[in-house]
This record gives sequence, C-alpha cells and structure tokens, in this order.
Amino acid sequence: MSHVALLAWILFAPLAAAALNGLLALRSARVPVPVEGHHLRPMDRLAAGIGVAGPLAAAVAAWSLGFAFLARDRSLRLTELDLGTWFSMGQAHVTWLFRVDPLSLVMVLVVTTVGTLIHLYSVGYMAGDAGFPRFLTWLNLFTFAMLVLVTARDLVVLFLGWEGVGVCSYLLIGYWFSDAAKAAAGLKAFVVNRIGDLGLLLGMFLLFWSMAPGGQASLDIDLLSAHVTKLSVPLATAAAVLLFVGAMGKSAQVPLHIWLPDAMAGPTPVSALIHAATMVTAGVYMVARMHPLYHHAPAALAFIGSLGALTALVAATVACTQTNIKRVIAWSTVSQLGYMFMGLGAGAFSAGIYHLFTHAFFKALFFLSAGAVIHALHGEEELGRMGGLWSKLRVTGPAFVLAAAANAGLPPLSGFVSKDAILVATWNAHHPVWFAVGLLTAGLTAFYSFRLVALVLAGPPRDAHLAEHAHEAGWAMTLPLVLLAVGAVGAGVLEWPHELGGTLWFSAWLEPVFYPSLDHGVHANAVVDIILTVGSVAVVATGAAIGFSLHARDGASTGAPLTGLQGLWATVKRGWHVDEVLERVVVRPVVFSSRAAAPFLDFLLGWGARGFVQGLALAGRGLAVAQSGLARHYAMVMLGGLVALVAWAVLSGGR
Amino acid sequence: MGETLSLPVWMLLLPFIAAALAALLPARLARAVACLAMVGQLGLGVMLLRTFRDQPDLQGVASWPMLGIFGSTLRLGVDGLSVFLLVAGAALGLLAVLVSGAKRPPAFHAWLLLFVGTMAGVLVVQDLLVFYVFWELMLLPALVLILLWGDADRRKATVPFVVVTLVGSLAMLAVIFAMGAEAHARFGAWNFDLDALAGVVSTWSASARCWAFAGLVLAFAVKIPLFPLHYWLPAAYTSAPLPAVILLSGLMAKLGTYGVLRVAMPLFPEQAVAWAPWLAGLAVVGILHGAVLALGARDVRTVLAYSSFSHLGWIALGIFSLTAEGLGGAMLQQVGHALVTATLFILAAWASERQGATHLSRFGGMAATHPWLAAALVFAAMASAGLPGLNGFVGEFLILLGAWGLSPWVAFAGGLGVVLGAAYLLWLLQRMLYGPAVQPAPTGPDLGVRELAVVLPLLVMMVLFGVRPGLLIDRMKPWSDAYVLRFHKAVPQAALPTGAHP
Repeated sequence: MSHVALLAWILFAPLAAAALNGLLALRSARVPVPVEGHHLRPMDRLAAGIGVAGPLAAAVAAWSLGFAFLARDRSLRLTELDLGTWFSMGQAHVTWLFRVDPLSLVMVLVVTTVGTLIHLYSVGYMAGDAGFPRFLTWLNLFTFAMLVLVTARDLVVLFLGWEGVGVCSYLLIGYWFSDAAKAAAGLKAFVVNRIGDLGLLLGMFLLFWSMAPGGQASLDIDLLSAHVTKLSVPLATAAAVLLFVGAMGKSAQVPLHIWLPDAMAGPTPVSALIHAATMVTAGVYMVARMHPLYHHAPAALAFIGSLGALTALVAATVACTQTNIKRVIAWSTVSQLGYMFMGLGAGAFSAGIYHLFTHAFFKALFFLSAGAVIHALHGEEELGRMGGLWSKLRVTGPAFVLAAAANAGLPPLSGFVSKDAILVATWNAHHPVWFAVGLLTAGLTAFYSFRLVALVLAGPPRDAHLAEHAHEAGWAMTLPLVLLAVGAVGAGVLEWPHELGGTLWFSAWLEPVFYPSLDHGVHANAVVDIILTVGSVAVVATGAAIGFSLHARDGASTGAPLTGLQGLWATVKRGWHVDEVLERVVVRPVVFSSRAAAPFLDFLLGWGARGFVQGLALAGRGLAVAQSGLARHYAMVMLGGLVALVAWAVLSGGR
Repeated sequence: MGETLSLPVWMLLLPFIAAALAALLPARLARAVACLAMVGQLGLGVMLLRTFRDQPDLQGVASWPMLGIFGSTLRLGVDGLSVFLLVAGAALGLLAVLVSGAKRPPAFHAWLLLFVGTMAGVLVVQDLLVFYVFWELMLLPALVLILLWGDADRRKATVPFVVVTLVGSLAMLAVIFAMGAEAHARFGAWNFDLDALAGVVSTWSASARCWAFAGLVLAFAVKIPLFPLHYWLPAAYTSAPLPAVILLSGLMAKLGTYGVLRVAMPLFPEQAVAWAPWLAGLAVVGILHGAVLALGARDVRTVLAYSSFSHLGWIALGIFSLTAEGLGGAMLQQVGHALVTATLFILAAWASERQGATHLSRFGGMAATHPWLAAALVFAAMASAGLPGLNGFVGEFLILLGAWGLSPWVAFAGGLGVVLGAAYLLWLLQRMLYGPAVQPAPTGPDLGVRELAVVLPLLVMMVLFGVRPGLLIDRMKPWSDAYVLRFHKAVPQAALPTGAHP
C-alpha cells in the first residue's frame, strides 16, 4: 500500500469505527436491553469488535509506515495527504493537509498502539455498562481527533483536533452523566481548556498578521517555521507565549491544571488514554512541533521551562498527599508533564518528546493496573480501604509495581532513561535551578510512587472483606497490562545513554525534524553526565525506600507520615488551594455579574427606555392627537416623525 | 435589465400570494398551503442558487416602474450578500411552518407567510424607500404573531419591541427622505435607488454625513441588536411562539447586519471607517454582556435569547473589523447562526414540551429518558459553541482573525466570548440533560420520525458547512472581495486599521 493510503487508513479507520459505533449507541440508547453482571450483550460484542478494530487497523498502518520510513533515506521520511481546501477568505487559506514525519509518527504510534491496548482493556473494564457502545464511540472519536491533531500541517486543522479531543474528553469525563458531579467535572475540563484555546487562537492571529505584510500570511506550520526568523524577537516571544497558553490548558500546567484531577471522574480507561498517555501531551507535542518559533524566542522557552519546573514540583508534592488511587496518578501526570516542558524549555526537544513517549507506556500501565485494582475491589478507589492485595493480584500486582518503578525513574526502566535525559539536559543548558527542582521532584516522585505501591499492595488489608473478594480480571484487561509492561520496561533501550553503552536511536530518529533547533555547539561532558545520573539514581532510590517503608508497616495511615506535618499536609492535599483561589478570583465575579451586575445593567437600560416612552406619550398628549394604546402611539409617532423629517429633508434639499 | 419577473421576484411574491390564500382557507388546508408555499419557496431558492453566478454583481435583476414622483424604476435582484439570506429565509419559513402544529388557525399561517414575505422584500429591493416600507411592514407580522399567539406576558414584551424599533426606524426614515430630497434638488426628481444615492450623498458636509450614518446605524443596530439597544430582545424572544422565534432570531436579526452592509456602509464609507472601532467595541460589549446574561439566566428560552444576542455581536464585530477575513466570517456566520439558533430553539421547545416547563430548575436527567433529543441538543450546542468541524467555527475564526487586524485587544475581548460561550452552553446542557432524574419526570416519547425528519437535515448541514464551508463562503467571496475593494477605494488608505488590506 502506498504511504498516502496508509496515512488515510491511520486517520479514517478510527473515524469509521466511531461512526458505526455511534449508530449502535443511538440504537441501544433507545432500546435498552437489560444488563446482567459483567457480560457483553450481543450489540455490545459488535461494538467491541468495531471499537477495537478501528484503532488496531490504524496501529497496523502506522507500524507499516514506520518500517517503510526506516527503509528510506532520512530526508525522505515524509508523507502527506491533501484533501483540499477547508476554507479560504481574504489572505486566510486553510487546507485539509495531513502530514507524517518522524515526529508525527512517534505521536501516531503512541496514540494508535497504546490506544488499541486501552480500547481492548475497556472492553473488559466497561463490560456490563448500559452505555457500552456510547463509550466506545467517544473513545474511537477521540482517537480520530488526536490523530488529526498530531498529523495536521495547518495550525487551524491542528486546532480542530485540539478542540475535538477536548470535547471527547468532556463527554467521557461526564460519561456517567446521571451523577451531576461527574458531569460537572466534564464541564470544568472543557471550560478551563477553552481558556487555553483562546490563547492558542490569539497566538495564531498574531502569527498570521505578523506575516501578512510580507504577503506570507499563513497558518501552515511548515511555512511559518520557514519564515519565523523574519519576525522580531519580541513578536515571536509574544506569539510563542500565547501558543503556550493553549498548551497550559491542554497539558495541565499551573494554574490551568485544575481540571485534570477532577477529570478522574471519568472511567479509568479514559484516565489512561486521554488524561495520561495522549491528549494531555498534546501541548508538549505542539510546542515541539513549533520548535523553530520557540528556538527563535529564548525568553518564551525560559518561561516554559520555569513554569514546567514549578508545575512538576507543586504537583509532585500534592501527589504525595492524595488518598484516592486515581488522584495520586493524576497529580503524578501533571508533574510529569511539567517535567516534559522543563526539557523543552532547556531546548532539549527530543528529550521532552522521548519522556512523552515513555510516559505514555508507563503511565497508561499505571492507570490501567490501578483500574484493575479498582475493578478487583468492585469500584473502591480510596487507599484507606486497600492494602494486602499483592497475593491476590498475580498479574496486576507486578504490573503496578513496574509502573510505579518506571514512574519513579528507577533504572533500568524506561522512565529512568527519559527522566535522566531531561535532568542532564537542564544541567547542560545551564539551568541549575531547574536541575535542582527536577532532582527534588524525582525524589518526591519516587516517594509517592512507592507510597502508593505500599498502600495498595503491601501489609495486611485495611478492609478484610474487600480484599477477600478481590479477583484478577479477564484476559481483555490483563493482556494490555502485560504488553504495556513490556513497553514500560523496554522503551528505555531506544535512548540508552552512551555512557552506559547504549545508542541514542530515538534522538537520531527525530534529528531530521529538530535539526534546525539543535544546539550543535554544546558538547556534553561524559564524566559530568555520569555524576549527574548516579546522583539522581541515589535520590530516587532514597525517595522510593522512604515512601515504601513508611507505608508498608502494619497500620500505616494514608495521612501525614509525621504528626508535625499535619497542617502543611492538609494544605498540600487541597492542591495548595489553587482551586479555591481561582474560584474566588475568577468564578465568583463572573457568577456575580451574570446573576446580579449584568441583569441590573439591563434593568437600568429598561428603565431609561421606559422613561423615553413616557416622554413620548406626554408629548403625544400635548399634541392632543393620541389617546392611549400601542397602535395609536405608533401612528402618532410615525406622523410626527414624518412631518418633522420631511420638513428637514426639503430644507436640506433646497440648500 | 428589462425583465419584470425573475426568480428573486417570485420569491418575493410567493409568500404574499400564499398568505392571501391561507387566510381564506380552513385551518388544515391553510397549513398545507403554507407548507407547500414554503417548499416552493425553498425550491425557487435552490434554483436561484443553481443559476447564481459567483460574481459580485446583482443578479436575477427585474425592474418595475415606480410611482411617478419616486424615481423612475425599482430594481430587484440578489447578490452574494443577499442570496444566501434569501434562501435561508425560505428554509426557516419551511421550518417554522413544520413546527407550527396543526392546531394553529389559518390566520397564524397567513401572518407567518407575511413575515417571510416582508423579509424577502427587504432582501431583494434595491430602492431605499421600498426597502423602508418592507422594513416597517416586517414589524407588523412579528408583532401580531407575538400579541395573538404569544405567552402570558406577551403584552409586556411587545411595548419595548415596538418602541425601540420605531425610534430606530424613524431615524432611518429621516435620513432616507433627506437623501431623496437631495436627489430631487440635484436632478429635479425624487430618487431612492441605492446606487444613485451613493453619488448624491458624497457631496454632503462631513457633519451631515455623520448624522445620516448615525441615523441609519441606529435603525439597524436596534434589529441586530447592538449593545445597548438589546433591551427589547429577551422578552420578545421568550414570549413569541416558536415559529415566530425561528424567524425573529434566525433571519430578522441578520437583517440588521444586512442593512449595515447594504445601506449604511456603502453610502457613508468614511463615517463607517471612523466609527468602526467604536461600533466594534459595542459589538464586543454585546458579545460579553449577552454571554454573561446567558450564563445567569434560569429559563431555557432566556438562555437561548441572550445567546442569540451574543452571537449577533460576533457578526457585527466581523463587519466592523473592515477586513476581508472578518467580513467573510460575518457573512458566513449570518447563515450559520440562522441554522444553529433555529435548531436550538426547536429542540429546546420540544424538551420543554416534554418537561412541561421552561424554567431550568424543573429540568434534569433528560439524557437518560430522552437520549436522542439529548444527543441532538448536545450536537447543536457544540455547533453553537463554535466547535471546529461544525458550522459555527469557521465564521467565528475568521471574525476573530479579522478583529485582530482591527486591534488585538478587540480580538482578545471578543475571544473571551469563546470561553463564556462554552460555559453557558455546557451549563445549559448540564441542567437540562445531566444529573439524576427530576420529579415530575419528563413525559412523552423521545424524538419521533416526524421530529427527526425536521431536525436531522439541520444537523447534517451543520457538519457539511463545518467541513466544507466553501459551499457558502466561496460563493460569497467574489462579492465580499469586491465590497472590500470598493470600500478601500472610497476611503484613503491612511484611515484604515493597520491589519486591513484590500
């Protein structure tokens, strides 16, 4: 099959699956068939088949394209699919142009491969849910939108994918819509993301109009990249920061991160696919995709790195204090996304993308094994009722530990390699503060990861009844765990450091993309790198040991490990009160104006208008023409107006 | 040029003829006649679109003799600006008849047809005096429909509607007569032809032109409505019967922006340039004010009414950005918003019918009991929120892009409407569809075949125009390009905003 046809398969197989499942969903919503236990109804089986086949076909096509690329010369690794004009007005021409290059292909492989596994897992996890076909519809549609996002060559088409994944996220967070709180979490996610989207839009406008005087107004990413050096640095910085505001929303950076922990209201496969592996990394991808712009705007890069460092640290502290298994992992995701931005900020685009890549595997594994735990405990998510599950969950248990270890960055797992690459990059880019923050975050990450392992798996069960009835899930759920575990362990091979006898295949793969933005002058010192690596491993190991030993004891609580910490612990647990502050500063004023200020303004306007009418009526009585009633006022005003106006008209006409 | 009957003329006459017929026939037949007439109107519209050449000029031109003193001939025809609105009017008319219900008396349908006919008149005539006559006549069916078939507090609603509209209209009338008189003084005969007047008023003093522009804009701004002239809107939209609301929000509001483009700006280009930033500012205030009000509103129809007000602000913003992008976006949005607002009002009315209430506190959990209705509502709300891929996005994008050309701050402030729009629409969905089921539970079945037949084509069109907006915008482009070009020739380059370009 030609490369273009493969690209078409990648994009449209999930869309077709979404369309077919949508029809099934509409049908089954109208003709409800009673559900008995965790079984698939006939229609659900069909939906499951379609729902997994769509992303699977895309994954097969993506891998075929990948191998075809490998066989080609590095400069020829590019395929484009042109589906004509979207819209054209004035200088704005936007085309349906999709492109796969090495960077896009990394994203496509993550989305389709991890995506297929999570779709398969969902079949087991959601079996018996009344809205099963609807769930797969949104999941398929999400996959399509995400693929559009990562293959679009025009920023406006990227924006379609960007908002498309947002709306699927909204629908999936609020999937159990009969629970008003879950539906509200979806709403919050969408609206907070829209704030970011506004930034992205304004960034596009700025780029568009700054290019306009040269007649090159365009939002085509490649054209923009080619001409971006013609922009003045302040202008480029402004555009870069505006675009990054979009990334802050989608990739949950402080202070727009507040939606992600609440998004855990969605079913766990959604948390794994959308809120860990793919959608939330869209911001990282977008910044990496626009690397010539960011390379041209060092101040914007510094801003990104600093905000990333802040987010990484803050979210890691919050993750240490959470008592809900999914919320720990959610905050961990926020923190890891901050890490990725720190890498990008240091100019290490390929290290940032590599962390995105490994993170997709180990964080999806983390969420899915957590989902298997929740499944085993019949929906229980509170750590306070877990513990002692190691002997019960022979597949999930080891998978969970591997995910935690990779997340913590323990060697030789993939998380170690990618995290280390970012830490080394920050040091080499002369950002010692980021490095220190990264190191501290790494320690905290190891701490909360193994705190979680201990609280879930180790010690005696905190709820004997629940633990007794815990059971391992079926193959549809365990197979994805095993395969993702392979990825979480093995993905490190692709970028195993030189100093440890590896080859940097991953960055070599991306080099054709990032070549213009690489700092060719910087030569890392191998000895320094090794010292940094040993240091970070020591910090991680210490954090992991403390986290595990403090919480694996008999009767270990989910609260503060030291009594003196309780005040601080409570503050951190509430996410440093960012939600409450934003509620007061932003939400309440808007609600106040919508309920009081704006209606009052309208009341005043109405009052003025009524006064005006009464004035007219008085004038009417004065003329003794009108009596009362609408029609008479109408006629009277018409007549009076006519006389006056014709008079004026004739006068001015005779001038 | 010499024709007396052309497709646009037929589209002007058909509603009036059908209205006369419907008024005389018994109820069932009246509805059938109305339905047939609107199908015919839409058919004519489709034929018009097929024969329409993608050129900036006036097409389907017909000339009628005028009464001796008021100029020689009346020109009728359509161009890239009016043709889609005319067809949209036919489609909305058909929708209005389809959802009007069999129990309505013949007079109801007759007035509905008159409403469609008068609005068609506004769109096809090229003579300002006749334009004014239709403009005023349009108010009559709107008023009658509200007063005779509206809700309990309809009387309260009509007074502000009439008064505000009349004040604006009188200002316009004054300007029209002044211009006609000027033509009379110049050529010795009254003349209200739009093209002729453009030459006439260019010799007026700056202050006279300024006043004249203000008078025209006032009349059109009331209909849009532009902040702070929206005072009449919520009451009128919420008390009018559904078929009337479809026409009010779907088309009549756009005639305000149409008037600005057709009459006010071409006649007084310098004033338009000078005032554009201020008018764009008012449009932005309207976008935000309407969105905030929609967020706080507690009645489903009030939310949609304020939403319509907010969205018309977008259209006005695109126009006053004076850029090709903004103008194109506004023209696209004129048609796109007609589609979306009509769909939302229809779906909301059906939901309220089943719930037996319009107050949002009485709604909840409808997604579980009426999944198809809920799905349609979510879909239409997403289109209204400007989700890319559905028809609201491209228009909004182009409008904001154009607004940035006028001023980045205007684009930023207008862009906040994107966030607020998502907030009030999703908050509306949250209260209507999600959460636990309310008591009393909604009654009645989910969407039936007939309801689906009405709403499904609308949803399909939202996707179609979202993915291939070129079906509309490519055919508007020759007109809008020529418009911007002519506009820029009429005004010295220095006076234009930095982002603007021919």
